[in-house]
Amino acid sequence: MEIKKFKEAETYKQFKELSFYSSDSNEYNLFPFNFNRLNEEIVLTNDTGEFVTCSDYELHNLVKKELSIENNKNLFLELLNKQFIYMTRDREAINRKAVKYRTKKQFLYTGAVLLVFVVTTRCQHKCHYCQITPQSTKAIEFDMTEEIAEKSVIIAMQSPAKSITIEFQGGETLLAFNIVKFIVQYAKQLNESIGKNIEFVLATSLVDITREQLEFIKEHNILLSTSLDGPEDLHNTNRPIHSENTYKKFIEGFNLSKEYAGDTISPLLTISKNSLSRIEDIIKEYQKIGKNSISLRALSPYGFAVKTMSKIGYSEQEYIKFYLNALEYIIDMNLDGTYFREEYATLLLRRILTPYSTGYVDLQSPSGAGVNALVFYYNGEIYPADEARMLAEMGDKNFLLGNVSDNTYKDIINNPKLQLIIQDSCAESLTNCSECAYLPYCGCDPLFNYVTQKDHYGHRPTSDFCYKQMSIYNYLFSYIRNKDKKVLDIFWAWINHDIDFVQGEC
Amino acid sequence: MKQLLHYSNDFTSKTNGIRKVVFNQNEYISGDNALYLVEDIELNEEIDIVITTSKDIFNKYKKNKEILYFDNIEEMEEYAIVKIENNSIYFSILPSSNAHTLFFTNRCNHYCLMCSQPPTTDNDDYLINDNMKIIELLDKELSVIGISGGEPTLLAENFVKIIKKIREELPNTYIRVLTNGRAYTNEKFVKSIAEVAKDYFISEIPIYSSYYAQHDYVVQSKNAFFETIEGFYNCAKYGLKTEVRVVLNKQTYNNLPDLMYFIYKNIPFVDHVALMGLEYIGFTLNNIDEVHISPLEYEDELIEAIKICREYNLPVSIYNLPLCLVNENIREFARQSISDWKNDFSEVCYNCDMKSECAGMFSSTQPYYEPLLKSITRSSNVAKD
Repeated sequence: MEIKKFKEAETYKQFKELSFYSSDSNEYNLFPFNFNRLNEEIVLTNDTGEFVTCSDYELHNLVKKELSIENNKNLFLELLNKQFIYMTRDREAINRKAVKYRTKKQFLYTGAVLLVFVVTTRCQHKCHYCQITPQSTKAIEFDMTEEIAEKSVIIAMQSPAKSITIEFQGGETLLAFNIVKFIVQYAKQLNESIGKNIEFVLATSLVDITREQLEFIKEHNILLSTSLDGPEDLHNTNRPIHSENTYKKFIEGFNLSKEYAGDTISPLLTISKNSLSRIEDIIKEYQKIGKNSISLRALSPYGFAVKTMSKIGYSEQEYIKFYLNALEYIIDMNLDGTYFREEYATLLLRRILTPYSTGYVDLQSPSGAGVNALVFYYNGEIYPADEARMLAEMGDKNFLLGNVSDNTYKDIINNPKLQLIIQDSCAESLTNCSECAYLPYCGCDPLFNYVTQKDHYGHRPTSDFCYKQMSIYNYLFSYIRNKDKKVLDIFWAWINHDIDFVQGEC
Repeated sequence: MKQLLHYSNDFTSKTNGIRKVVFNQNEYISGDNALYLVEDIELNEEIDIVITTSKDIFNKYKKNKEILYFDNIEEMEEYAIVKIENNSIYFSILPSSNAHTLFFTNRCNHYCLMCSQPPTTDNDDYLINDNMKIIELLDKELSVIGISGGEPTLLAENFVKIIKKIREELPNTYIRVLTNGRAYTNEKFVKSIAEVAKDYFISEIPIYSSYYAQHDYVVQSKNAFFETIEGFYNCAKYGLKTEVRVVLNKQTYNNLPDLMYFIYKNIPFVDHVALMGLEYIGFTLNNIDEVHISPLEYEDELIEAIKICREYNLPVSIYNLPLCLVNENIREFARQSISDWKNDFSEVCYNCDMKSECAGMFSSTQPYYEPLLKSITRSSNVAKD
C-alpha cells in the first residue's frame, strides 16, 4: 500500500529515542513509607493510602536507591506512580503528592458534620447491651425541652460544614417526637438564611410508630435508622420489652414505615454472645426484610454492657473469629451470585482502594470526636461523641465540653479538653500506629482507649481496638495482595453499591 | 480550515477577510461582514460584496461592486463562515458539519510521534484576529465550539482574550479545548481562564502512558508528563473541567490498564476518559513502525481498561474505531466521534447492520483497517465471517 508520508518531514527535526527520555531513571528520592511483613511478602504503604507488595530483596534495593527502570521496570514504575519515590529532577513531585494527601484528609476541612441530638433517655426497651440507663416511658423530665433544643440547634448551625446530618438519638426518639418535630422545623427555619444541606436521621426502634409520625417523616425526608438483631428469637432475647414480643412489634413498625419511607430504612445489628453462632440466620433475616447489606457491630464496652458482660459479652478474639467467618460467608454468597455487602469491610476497602476521603467519626486520624461530630444531650450538655455521654451517664464527665446555655460552637471547638483529644488521637504520631503499614486506612478512638485502657493514647500491643483492626486489614489484604480477581470484583461492587454487578456476572 | 474554492477573478484587498455567506439579499449581517450569494440578475443596491456563478451578474456589476466569480460553488452553504484571501475562499465554519473548530495556531511545543497535523514554526498571529471575527459571526445557538492547533495555549494572554470573546458572544456554548495542558502549570493562567470561561469549558488533554519517560517520548519533550499532571491539578483547583485523551498506539497499548489506575488514583476528578483510535496521517506515516498496531491486537488491553474505568466510576468512551474492530462486550462505549469531513466507510460496511451507529474510520485510516473490517449482524451483534 502506497501512502505518502508527511511531505516536509525530512526537513523537520529528528525524532529522539525512548532512551533519551529515560536515561535518569536511577536518580530518584524516597518519600516516607511504612511497611508490614505478611508471610513471605512485604506490604509497603504511604500516607496517601497507596500500597505496593515486594520482596525483602526489592525493599533493600529500593532504599539503597539501586532500583531502576532497567533492573526492575514493573516495581520501579509502580513505586513511582504511587509516589513511594520521585525523580530527583521532578521539583513539583511533593506538591502533587500534597494534593493527594489533602484529598485523603478532606474530612479535616469540613467541621462538625454529624450533630447528634439526644432528645430523650426514655425507652420502653430494656436491651441487655444498652449503653445508657433507660428511663421509664413516663419520666418526661428526661426529654429535651424546647428551650434547650432551640439553643442546641443554634450551636449546631454554627458548624462551618456546608452539609450536616442532624441525627436524633434516644432512648426511644418516638417517645419525644414533639421535640423531634420542633428541632426539624426550627433548623429548617434557621437554615433559610444560612443555606446548608441538612440531612435528618431518626434513630428509632420503630415500635409503635404512628401514621401521623410517618407523615411528618416523609414530608421532611427524614431517614430512618433502626435496630434488628436477627431472627425473632435472637431479637427478642437481645431487645426485650417487659413481656411483649419485640420482634413482632418491630416488624409491624417496619412494614408500616416502608409504606412511607420505601427501601431507605437502615437497620443496624448489634452482635451479642447469642449472635456468634447465628450469622446465616441473621443474614437470612436481613434478606427477608429486603436488605442487601449489613453492619456487623460489636458491643461497646460502655454502659451496663460491662456489668452484664458474662451474660451477653465475648472476648475480642471471639468477636474477630466470628467477624472474619461472617465475612468469608458473605464473600461466598457473592461468589455464588447473591449481592450482599458488609458495611464495615466496605468502609475499610473504600479507604484502601479509592483515593477519596471517607468520613467515619469513629475511625479517623485525628479522631472525629468533636472535630466532625458533636452530641447535644437532652439536658443541654455537649459531648464530642455518643460514647462520651454514655460515660457521663455512668458518672464520668471527663469529656463534657460545655453547655448549650453558656457556650457557642467556637467555645466548644476551642475547649482545651477537645484540643487534648485531638492531639492525643493523631495516629501518625502514636507509638506503634505511626510505623504501622495500615496507618493510612486506620484511625483513633480515644474514648475507647479511655474506657478500656484509662487514657486517650491507649496501648497498642494490648488494645482490643488495634487487634480488631489489624485482623481485618490482614484478612482484606490477603485477597488484595493475591490479586484475587473474583473477590476484588466483589469488593468493588461493595464500594460502588453496584448491586447488578454480582448478579450480572452469573 | 477544511476546504477551499479556487478563485476565478482577481478581488481587491477590500474583499479580503472573514465573512459570513448569506443567501437572502435582504438579510443584514452586523459589521458589514456579509458575503451575498447571488444568482439573480437584480442586485439590491446596498449590497457591496457578492459571490456568484453567473457570468451575466459578474459582467453587469464588476465595475461598481466586488464580485467574486466561481464556476462551481456547490459546497457553499448558507451561513458558512469563510476567509477570503489570495483569490481563494477558505471555509472556516460549515453549518452542516457536526463539529465546529477554531484553529488557534499551528505552532506546538510537542512533537508527537503520531501528530496528525505536524506543527510549523511560522508566526501565525493573524489567526488571533481571524478568530475574534469568526466568533462574532458564529450562530449564537451553537452548542459546542472546539479549539484546536498546534497548541492553542501558546497564545498565552491572547488565548484568554479569545476565550473571553467566545463567552461574551456565545454565553451558552460549550468550549472544548484540545491542549497538552502544560501551560496550565502557570496557576495565574488557569485562574484567568476560569474567570472568563465560567462553566461549559473543558480541556481535552492527552496522557499516553503512566510511565513519564514513555509519555515524554511519545510527545518528544522532556518533563512533559510531570507538567501535564500538574496542569490537571491546577484545573481542578480552579474548577475547570478536564478530559484525558489517550491515542491507542503501539507505544501506549501495553500500559493502558496501568494508566487507567494512575488516572483514578492521581486525577480522579477528570470528567471523562477518551480512548482514541489512531489517525493515519501526518507524522504517523513517518513513524509507522513505532506507532501502528492493529486494534485487534490491543483488544485485551482495551477491554481491561474499560473494565477498570467502570469499576472506578470514570466516565469512558472509545473514539475513532469502527464497531467491528471493538470487542462486542465493550462496544457500548464506542462513540460516533469522527468529524463528518474526515469520516469514511468501506464497501463491507454497507452490509453491516450497525453502520448507522458506527464511527466509521478516518479516510486516512481506511487502507490500514480495510483488511480487518467485518459487517455485523444485529441479531447476534457479532462480526460475520
